[in-house]
Amino acid sequence: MAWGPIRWRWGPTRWRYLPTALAILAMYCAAGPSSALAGYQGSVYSNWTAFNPCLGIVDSYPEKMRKQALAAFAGLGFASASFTKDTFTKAKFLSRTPADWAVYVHSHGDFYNNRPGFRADGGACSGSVVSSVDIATKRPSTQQTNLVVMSTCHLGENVARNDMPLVYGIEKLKAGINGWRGPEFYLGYVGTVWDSDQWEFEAILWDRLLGGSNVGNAFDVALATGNYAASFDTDWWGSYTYLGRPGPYSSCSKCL
Amino acid sequence: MPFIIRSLRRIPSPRRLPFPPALALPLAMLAMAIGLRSASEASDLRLWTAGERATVNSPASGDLAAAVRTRAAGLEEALGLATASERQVAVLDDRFHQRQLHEVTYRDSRGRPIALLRLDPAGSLASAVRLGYRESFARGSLDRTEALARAAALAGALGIDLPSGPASARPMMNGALWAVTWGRVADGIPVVGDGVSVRLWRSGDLHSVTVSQRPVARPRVTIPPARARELLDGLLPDVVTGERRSDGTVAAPTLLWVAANDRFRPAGADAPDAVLRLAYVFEMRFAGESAALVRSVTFWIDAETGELIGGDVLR
Repeated sequence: MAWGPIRWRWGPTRWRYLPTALAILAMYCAAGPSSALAGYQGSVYSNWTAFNPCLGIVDSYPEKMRKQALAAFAGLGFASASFTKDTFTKAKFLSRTPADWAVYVHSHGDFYNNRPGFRADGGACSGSVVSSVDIATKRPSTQQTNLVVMSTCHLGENVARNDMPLVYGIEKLKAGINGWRGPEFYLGYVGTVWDSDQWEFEAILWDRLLGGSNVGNAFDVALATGNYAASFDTDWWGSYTYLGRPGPYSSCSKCL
Repeated sequence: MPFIIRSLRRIPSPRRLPFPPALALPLAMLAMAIGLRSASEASDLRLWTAGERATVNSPASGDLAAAVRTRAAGLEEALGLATASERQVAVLDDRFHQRQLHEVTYRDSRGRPIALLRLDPAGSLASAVRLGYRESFARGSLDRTEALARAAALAGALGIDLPSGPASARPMMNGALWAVTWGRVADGIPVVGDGVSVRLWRSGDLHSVTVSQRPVARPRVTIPPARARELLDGLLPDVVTGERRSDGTVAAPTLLWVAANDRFRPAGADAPDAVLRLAYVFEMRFAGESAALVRSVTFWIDAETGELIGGDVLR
């Protein structure tokens, strides 16, 4: 075959669809998550080591929840990365904290010295505690965050000592369908919660968000359509009508 | 294997494909980007894996939509939806729960979704949720007694066949919501996660109603609890191998209907089983240093086969 300029013709050749293919590719690229390109950082953390090598229990859920949250953050448009085992250290978490617009943590949560926190993985059995005090040293409480999901026990409790939402710049207030506190949403669980319930709740929540629901609708549907243990409890703060997409404060309640 | 080989043989050579390879990659990327799946894949509800969309929603056909609307109309007054401006009917493939439902989305005059109602294919109510939180919802004074009474009245108005036994009412969402639940009992044994739940805001406004009655696989024979414990004791050295195993204490089992899961088999399914099985549920509570990482683990021993069919973790 001689080299030369490609001659497009509408004959029966295998290349006759190339212009169409290129056009489709161009559309795909144009429709991609432009906000992710803009670099709104999303960080997903899941504690695997504490449950697998340390207790010796082969537990598949930390990995499933990491994958699910990572896909959700990416699908919503955050520039996402996930960390587990020896990459989910306290130092790594805090090094990313200043630039985080979305954060997901699946681990053991509690109040440590009367402040909310969770265990980092670190690939060690005695994972360091990351508390709200640590986070507060890395970002002012006026710095905005879009989406925070604490997939742990206790960190959705509305008690004075739970300042985890506050250190992410999210007040423990709810703006309803006719209100707006900016593009922000904090989700946590109340009391001790079974892992399977968190898994099911989050699978529904992420699915609704990726389907275009706002965070409030997604939360309500997840609460109403799962098969949870009688003790299951969760709560949220932020803006009900926020769509879960990355971006800075906007007065437009339907833009992000 | 023979079936696979026969299927492979039916695949035409690339030269005979109905559209050229140049289109295949971009079309596949486009399909992935907008969440499309082939019909066969979408209908195989058990193929769901973490990271994928858990539901596939498609418009209902004309006849089906009309039938669903008629059935839903009988529930709308009790749910406060009779004046909704728009009703949109869809078929929902719920891949996480491995079920198909008919879904009606209600919208107000501004086009905002105000409620979601789901019916099973037989027309029974699966769930209804009022969308659109208002700040006033959490500020009411509905007490436990009133919540129980209102929930019972609503269930009656919706024609829900309530499980026998008393309802329980507990506060949720830091006290903003009452969850009134009639737990399901099958053959005298509690069914985890099943029953009827009515959730009411403190203001008395409805949040949601959930009716869950998953199928159960009744065992032909049931092993005694002591045998189940023996089997668990035989499994534990393989299941809990860490040096901190001695921190855990296993309590006496509870017989429950559970949705088996592959928690202890990473290569297994990501969603729990749709058909419930009878199991001895053993809870291992942790003390010492381990309690700083995990509160307890449950092991589910199938009451018929003695197999380990799943478990749960309180982190």
